[in-house]
Amino acid sequence: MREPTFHILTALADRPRYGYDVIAEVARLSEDRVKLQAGTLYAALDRLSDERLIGVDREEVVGGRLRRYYRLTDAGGAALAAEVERMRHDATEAEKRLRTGGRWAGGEVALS
Amino acid sequence: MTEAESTLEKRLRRLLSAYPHWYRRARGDEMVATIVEASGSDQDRPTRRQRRDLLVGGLRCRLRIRGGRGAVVLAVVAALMFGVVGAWAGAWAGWQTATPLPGEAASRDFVHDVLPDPKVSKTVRVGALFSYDTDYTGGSTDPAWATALFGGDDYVAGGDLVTIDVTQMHNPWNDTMADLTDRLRARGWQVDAHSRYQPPTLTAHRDGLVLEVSSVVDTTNSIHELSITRAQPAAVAPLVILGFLLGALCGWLFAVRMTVLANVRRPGRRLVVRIGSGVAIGLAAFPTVLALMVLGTVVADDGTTSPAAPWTPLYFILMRPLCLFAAVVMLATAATAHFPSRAATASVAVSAPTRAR
Repeated sequence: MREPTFHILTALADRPRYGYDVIAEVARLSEDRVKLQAGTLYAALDRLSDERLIGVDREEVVGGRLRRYYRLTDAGGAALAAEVERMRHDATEAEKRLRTGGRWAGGEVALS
Repeated sequence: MTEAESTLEKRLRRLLSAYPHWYRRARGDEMVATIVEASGSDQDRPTRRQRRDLLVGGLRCRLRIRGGRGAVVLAVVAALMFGVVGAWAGAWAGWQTATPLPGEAASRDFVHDVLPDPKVSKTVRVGALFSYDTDYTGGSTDPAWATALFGGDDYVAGGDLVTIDVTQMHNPWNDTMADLTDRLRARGWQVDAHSRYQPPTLTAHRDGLVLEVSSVVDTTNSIHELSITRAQPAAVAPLVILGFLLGALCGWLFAVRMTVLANVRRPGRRLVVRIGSGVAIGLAAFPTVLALMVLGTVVADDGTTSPAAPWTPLYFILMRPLCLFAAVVMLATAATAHFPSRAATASVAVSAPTRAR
């Protein structure tokens, strides 16, 4: 799972969000590493929708503009959970090996 | 809505024309709202990054296959099938630049010029670029409708065919062939192949024409044929490649459209698209493979031998009905899938697969 996809699913994990809300939340979650443009966002939403990982929750018109809210499906939640587990396993394994090599310094890499 | 937002919105809608019409109908308002909200309040035109994002996104959207692995297979096969048709069109365009045939009288004069004592028994001209070989022998005994529907065998290059009765000639044919080779070379022909097997044959080319001398297979081997055909023009190979690429792109776009329609949540339509596409692919599969093989020889043709017809499978026996039937099924499927489509396609991109529980 690529980083933008992971962050989009994460952004939708707690509650449904509309387009700009997803962009803003993904930027916040990634500490501004991932700044989605609209074309990229909607391509990802299309793909995730095709894969049945997200769905449309509701539509609202605010200030004369359409807001379509997306939510995580059960399958999307399961996929995100599996990805979290995979990342946790990988991170644990990496930390273990850094400790074994004496290169772990509380989250900072000890440069020799 | 501020004036700046209004101007930005108009410019965004122009940029959104990079996306297909059905996608803009489904997503356009939502995308504009998102971009406007993400833009500064005083921004009245899209940034360079926003422009690039929408243009690239639109192109990807037009080319993206929706559906699983089956849809991708459909798209690849459709691209190959349409690519073959495009290659045929390119080949036809290239063949319009072919060197004209010399004509019956000129061919007869040519034979008298290069053979010391020819006994020409018959001269036949087939003016078409390619034709069934029955046109050289006085026409097919099959009804025209049967050939039009089922095709025929031996679809060959048109040209001037001169039949020579060897038994009436004073010199042995082997000596005649040796003389012929010398005379052709003296007249600027490049002799490419001169078989010394019995009976000997010869191939030569000059100025966009190909000369072939061969024996008619019969019990006496006493009749030889001298044919002058057009060499494949140099423009054919690049136009075949160009036509194939353009056709493949059209095939891919066609598949995109069909997979969009196949994903519409209308079971009847989805079934029609899937069955129709499957039947059309099944019918056209073998002719497509055969066509790709023929087109390979066309691209590799160096203009020194009598050329193969690029569109052979379209005329070859049994291949022709497969091609025609596949085209009819494909067109019928596309037509059925498209009408009515407005309400259905609008729901594609934003359909909710499963409701929240």
